[in-house]
Amino acid sequence: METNAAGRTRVLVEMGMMIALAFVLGQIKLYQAPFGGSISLEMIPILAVAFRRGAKVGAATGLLYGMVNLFVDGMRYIVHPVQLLLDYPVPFMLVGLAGLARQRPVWGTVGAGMLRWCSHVVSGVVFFGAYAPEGMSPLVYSLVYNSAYMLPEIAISALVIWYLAVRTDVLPGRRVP
Amino acid sequence: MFSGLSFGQYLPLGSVVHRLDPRTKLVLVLAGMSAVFLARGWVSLVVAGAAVMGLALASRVGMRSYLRGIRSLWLLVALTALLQMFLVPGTRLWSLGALAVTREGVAMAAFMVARLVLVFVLAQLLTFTTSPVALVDGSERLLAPLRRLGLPAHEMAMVMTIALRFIPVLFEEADKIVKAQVSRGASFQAGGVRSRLQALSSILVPLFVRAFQRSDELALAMEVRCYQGGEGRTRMNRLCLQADDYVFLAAAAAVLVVVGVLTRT
Repeated sequence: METNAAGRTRVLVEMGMMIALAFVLGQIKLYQAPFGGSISLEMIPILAVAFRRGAKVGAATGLLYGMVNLFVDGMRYIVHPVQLLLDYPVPFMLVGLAGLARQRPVWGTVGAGMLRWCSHVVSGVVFFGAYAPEGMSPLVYSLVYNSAYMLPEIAISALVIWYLAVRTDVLPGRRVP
Repeated sequence: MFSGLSFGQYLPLGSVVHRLDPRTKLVLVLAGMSAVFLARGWVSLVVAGAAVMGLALASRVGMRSYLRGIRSLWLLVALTALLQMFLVPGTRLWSLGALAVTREGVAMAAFMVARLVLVFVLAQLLTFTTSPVALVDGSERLLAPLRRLGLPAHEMAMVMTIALRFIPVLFEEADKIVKAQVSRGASFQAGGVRSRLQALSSILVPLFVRAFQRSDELALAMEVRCYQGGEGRTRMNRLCLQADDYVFLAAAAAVLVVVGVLTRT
């Protein structure tokens, strides 16, 4: 993060604005899965911050987006305290790590999306550990369920990031994928 | 496209729970969830459940609001109950081919559903009785001691406050852009995922551009007003714990202790 106060303010405001945009885009759902989880473009603004400002700012933006989402809308999907963390703040924080691959936004998007997917899968395993009888295979179920919306969302996000990187000035640098 | 979109779940009813300090409510919800998950038998779950339900009644939020929310979970509740009923071994009550419902299974199903519903009610209670801005304020104050460890609590709260303030603004912006594109013949509702995505790109780019413009304007406005971060800033609404807060916190501690003792014995 930039060290002087003015640069810092600029970064803070941009983080807030992109979180708001992520929330708005999150409400435009291309598909809604029955137990929570949907396909939308909500990752794009977080990815944009990550590519513009680096992984640290990106991860912080993702974390705070998860919290805003939880405070405004997410409490409907809470069934377990650990699930709360693994479905809201943690996955989007992982999305922000895309900033580690600033020169390769498309691959960064795919990698960060995979990390988010892992977090949702673990959260599903925690849920089943707490509520389902012993002897079921929670991992397989969670993997199938979360892949159903996460894989298309990762693909769509990568496509949109590619478009933004090639055609617009939203992302810095032009070296893609 | 955005018609019927509700922003947030807060219901301003002015009950005793609504008036509690947001920090108190965050702690109450955490304590309640711990109690519900600590409970190992029916007795301890009933104690925790009574406390949660007492809180829900005190909030004066109607049952209907909770039921509306639980629609998002009913499949999960049903699945949990069915799995428990059929897969827990024990005395058979009723069988369907190779599958058998056991007495232990039914008891477990009831326990798990009760736990699920209690956690759900608690989480909902927080957003029904506390506005998002108050929640951000409360979490800033709760996290403030961690500033010594390098956690920028003020900055985090500032970012979230800006986000909350601009969510409705950007919704409106998106609506305006959608209408502008529709008037040029774009269609956002028709077609499959692919054509909807194509249409979406025609609002995405202007939305991004406007959001960055707004953020530049806001940052400039803050700079000219000498915003320097958290040091020495005063606030319009200062949080201050009242007698009610202490009463509720003491009650929560008591419930946790009772549930803890019941679970141990």
